[in-house]
Formats: sequence, C-alpha cells, structure tokens
Amino acid sequence: MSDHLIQIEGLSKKYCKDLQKSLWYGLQDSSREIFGISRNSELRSKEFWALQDINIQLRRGECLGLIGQNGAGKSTLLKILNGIIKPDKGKVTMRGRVAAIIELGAGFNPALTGKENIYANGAILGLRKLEIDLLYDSIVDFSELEHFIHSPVRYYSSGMRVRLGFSIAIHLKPDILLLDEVLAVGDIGFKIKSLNAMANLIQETAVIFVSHSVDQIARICSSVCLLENSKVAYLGEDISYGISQYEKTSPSPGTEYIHDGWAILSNISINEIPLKESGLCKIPFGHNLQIQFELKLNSNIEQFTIKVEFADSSNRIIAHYHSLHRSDAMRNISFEKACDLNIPNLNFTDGLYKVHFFIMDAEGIQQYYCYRNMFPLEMTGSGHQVKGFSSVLLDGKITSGKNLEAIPTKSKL
Amino acid sequence: MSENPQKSSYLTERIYSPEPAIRKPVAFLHDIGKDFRLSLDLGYSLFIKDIKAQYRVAFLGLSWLLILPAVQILLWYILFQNKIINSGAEAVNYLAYMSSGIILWTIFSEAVNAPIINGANTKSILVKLNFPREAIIVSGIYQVLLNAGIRSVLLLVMLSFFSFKPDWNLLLFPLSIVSLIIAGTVIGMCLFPFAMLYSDVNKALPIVLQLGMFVSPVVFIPGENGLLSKIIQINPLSVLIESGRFGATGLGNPSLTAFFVTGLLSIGFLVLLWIIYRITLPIIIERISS
Repeated sequence: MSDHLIQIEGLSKKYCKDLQKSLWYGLQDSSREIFGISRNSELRSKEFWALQDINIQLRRGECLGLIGQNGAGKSTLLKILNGIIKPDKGKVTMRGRVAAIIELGAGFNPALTGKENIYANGAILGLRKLEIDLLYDSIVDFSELEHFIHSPVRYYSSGMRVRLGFSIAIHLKPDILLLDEVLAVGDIGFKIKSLNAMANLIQETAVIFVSHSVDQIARICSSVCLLENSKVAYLGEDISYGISQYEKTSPSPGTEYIHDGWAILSNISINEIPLKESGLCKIPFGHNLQIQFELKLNSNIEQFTIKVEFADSSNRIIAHYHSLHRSDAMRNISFEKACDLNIPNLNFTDGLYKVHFFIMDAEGIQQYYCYRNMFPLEMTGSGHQVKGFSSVLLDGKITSGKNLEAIPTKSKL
Repeated sequence: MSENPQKSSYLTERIYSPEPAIRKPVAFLHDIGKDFRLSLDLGYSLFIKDIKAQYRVAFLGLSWLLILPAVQILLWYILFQNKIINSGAEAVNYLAYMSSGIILWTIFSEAVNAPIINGANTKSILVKLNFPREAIIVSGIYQVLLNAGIRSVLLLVMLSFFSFKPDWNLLLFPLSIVSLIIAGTVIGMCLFPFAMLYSDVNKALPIVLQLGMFVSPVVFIPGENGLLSKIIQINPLSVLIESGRFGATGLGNPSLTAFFVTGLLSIGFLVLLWIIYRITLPIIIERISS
C-alpha cells in the first residue's frame, strides 16, 4: 500500500453553464447512477471541463498550496476530495480522517450558545460527544471566548465567530486537512496564533491549502500547484517559481486616476521602452530604474512632488521614492515639461513587484494624479529568494572582537 | 514528529471515482449500514439543536409545541359544546371521526414535508461539509414523531371527555401513526431531489396535500358509490387512516390485513428510497452548489 494519504489520478470534472440544462442533466445523471449505468464522460451541450486530468499525490507532513485565478477549479477540487461531489473521470483515494475547513463556522446556529454550537458543529464534523467533551476546554481556551461561551452566537462579532469556528476545526486532529481561504481571519494576534497552530498541525497531516495570499502559501506550503484553465500549469516544490507563474497569469491591470484634470501624463517610458510596449520590466539587482514622461499640470498648481511606490505581491509597500524627501518640491513653471526620474541601485530580492506612481502637492498629502500598477517589475539576480517575503536587501557589516570568524553559510529563512 | 509513524498502514481508505457505487453492492451496503448508525446519532443531535434554536427565540419557549395543537383540539371541543356543531350521538361520532382524521392527516403531511424542509434548511452546509446525509431525514423523523406524540395524546384526552373508552384496539393507533410517518417520509424522499432542484415542488406541495386530504377519509365520510368514494377506496393511505381512527375511536371497520400489507410495503419503499437518496444526493448537491 502506498504511503500517500491523498492520491489523485487523472481526475476530471465537468460543469454546465446553463441552469435549466444543468438541472435536467442532474436528473439524468441521478437515474443513470440508480441503475448503475456509467457516467457520460463526453461533454454535453453547454458543458465545460472545470477540472481536467489532475494528478496529485501527497504524504503526511506535506502541504500543497493550491493557487489559481477565480474559476480555475480550486474549490471544485476540494469538494471532490471532501466527497461532496463525484468526479466525472479518474480516481481519488483518501486515506485517513479528512477534515475540510471550507468555511469557518458553517452551520453555526445563531440562537444557540457558543457551547451548544461547539457540540452541534463537532457532531456535523464527525466527532462523538465523548470526544467533544475531552476537547471542549481546549477549544474554548484557544478561541479566547471564555466569557462569551454561554451567550448566543448571534451576539458574537464576526471575528468571534471565526475564532470559534477555527478553534473547533484545528481540534479535529485529521490525517488530511483541506483548507479553503480560511486563514485570512481575525485580528492580528489571533492570525499569528492560528498560523502557528496550522504550522504545527501540518507536520502530522497532509494538507491542501487554497489561498489567494501567495504570502501565506510561501510561508506554509512545501509544494505548490498552479491551476490554470482547469488544468495543472505547474506542480512542484519550487514555490517561488509557481507563485511567479501565477502572478504572470493574473497581472493586475494598471489603473490611472486623474483628479479633475489636475495633471496629465503622456509618453511614459520605462528604461527607454515606451510603457505601452514594455509589458514586464526586468531589472537586474542593483541596476537603475528610469521613468520618463511628459507632464501637463493645471496652472493653479504652484508646487508639486512625485512619489513612486514599490509593492510586493501581497500589495505591501516595501519601498518608495518621494521627491519631497530628496529635495524641495518642484515649482510648476512651464505647465508642460518632459521629466526624467531616475532611481538608482534597486536592491530588492528576486520576485515580482508592482509600481505605483503619484503626482502630489508640495506637502505630499493631496494627490493630483495616481497610476496604480503602472507596470510590473521583475527583479533578478539578487541571489536571494526569500520565502514568503519580498523585501529590500540592506547593506550591513558586523565588526567584533578578534576571536570571531565568519563561516560561510547558506542563506535561509 | 508524528506520534505514530506506522499510522498510515491502518487508515480507513475512501475512493471517489465516477463508477456508480451500486456496482459494488457489498461495499455499498456496508457503507449504508455504517452511515445509518452515524446518522441516527447525528440526526438526533440535529433534532435537539433545531428544537432548542426554534423555541429559545420564543418567549413561551417549548410550550408552543403544546399550544398550537391544544388550541385546535380545544376549538373543536368548544364548537361542539356550544352546539355550533349539532349535538347528539351522531354528532359526537362525527367530531371523533373528523378530529382523528385531521390529526392523522396532519402527521402524514408533516412527514411528507420534513425531508424537504430540512433539506432546504441545511442546503448551505450540504454543499460545504461532508457528513452522513441521512441525518437530515432522521432528524426530520424525530421532529415529526415529537409533534405526532403531542397531538395524539391531546386527541385521546379530548375523546375521553366524550366517553370514548380505550380498549386493546388502541394499539393500532400508534402503529398507524408510525406507518403514516413512514409513508409520508417515503413520499417526501421521492420529492426531495426534485424539490432541491426545482422550486415548483415547494409551490405545488401544499395544494397537492390539500387535494390529497379530500381523496382520503379525513373529514368526509365516503359513501358506497361515486367517483370520490372509488378513489378513497384505492388510496393506500385510506386504510392507514381508517385503522388509526378505529384504534382511537372504535369507529369504522378497516381490514387489518390491508393495514399490515400497506405498512410493510411502506417500509420496503423506505429502504429503497434510502438507497436512492444516498446515490443521488451528491449529484443533486453538485447542481445546487455555486
């Protein structure tokens, strides 16, 4: 017997776009099943493949991050693995107790108290009363809801509900865990606590983790699967590569905001390539970024500043340039001018970044012009692929007493 | 890290494939049996949870379970006492006929509705969580049994005021209630997949049940001839209702053989539908989920 807890072989699943047809096919399929006739494995009219030829295997202690755009088939795959819907082709073998956290607190009854909901939810998730008795204190402890546990759940805030749901879920002690977008919950303290709890659980479990937060995927997962148009586009342990492929398939379109015609930008070019043709801008580590543009400002603007923000794939701003800090604000003399902005020595770790561009007032408070996601920037050759976080590499030097000698190490985080 | 490195060697294995489950009858029946035991427990806790949730938000709480049928029975009693319905031996018999008929019919129609209502209420967890789906049916049956118990006790109390003396035939009364609940559940489960997919069922069901009441011996005493009487005669529910009524009031003269045959047939159909329900539910869920 194989030691894979999850074994997916040639899995395919089809869906129907049309509601009326879908219901009709549902009745047809039902009667086929009743009489033991095999499924029609061809597409019928208005049907499409939601999943096609998926092959995945997972052992205990492995965590697979499932990424892909909306509608790529991630949730469908989880539903099949959880036995909620049947595959149309292929075979899925699940070994051990399966817990799926598809939606935290699904099935909570608002009229019942937190305690009663723990028991009711636990029963639906497959725990016996005796098991829940044993886990009860620990569940309440983890959720930090001691003072509210005898109040009806309808008086809970949404964060409290999520905490209760998550506490129940991690106490299920499954062999296989299916997670669908559930870690983006709660306040920062609870988020860290739940991520740590997850990390512990993962070591004894085979986990499939669906998330749009590539940051969490990179932090938790040991391998990654990119679904694209219902097929596997990448499956492997090179998480950075999988994530970068995902980000390339889903470039966020740039959006330009011009506030009441205060400022208009034209003929933008990035490192001497016009913006419209440039696409992905690749910059080797330590090289310069040059943004050229023609600026037309409203005559009422006397002074202005320019700001450029760099955001990582989780949309966190990791660095910015603001002319305010570099020199005084620029005086608006000619109302129309060709500008050349040069940012030297970009020192970010390898990965994809987004560039936001702003024209602001002299104090850097009011925006005259804003171009979000002006272009995607790819850093290469930094020699660092930092797991989870893309960031700025700083220079630094350690000096110490005589007896300390530097030992060459592998960079690791 | 793992406490038990050999753990995977004795893990339960589940296989999901497009092959119809019924092609492997032994494994299929084994799964049904296993889930049946689980669904009895889960159904019971769903039932308790539902009752708690329903009546906690009511000021009068659980007493509502009693109030509604009690008012109905009391109303009949008052109408009769105040001679709005003509008194006399004939009228007493009619009151007993009608009240027992309506109570039995109500129990039956609640049983028809229970799977459909419970299915609609649990739709959101059906598409997200995997649990023995039969629990939905079981919890519905518990609810119907509770209501049926309260109604029939109240009915018997009222009848005792009109000097209906219970005898050994009273045993037929609970038996017929159970048969009616089984028959109702069978019909409810037949409608279940259609009700989950098409809203037409929910719209049409109240009317159909009303019509059903008129082609069963509930409020009208069927005559010897006429189309309606013919329909009542061939309606399999008639014998269940008549036997229940005979048990509670001693009225009528139902065929016991027909009663037991119908009851056993209902059980047979229940088993069949239990299997069909299990087979079709994943397909239904697939079509209702977003």
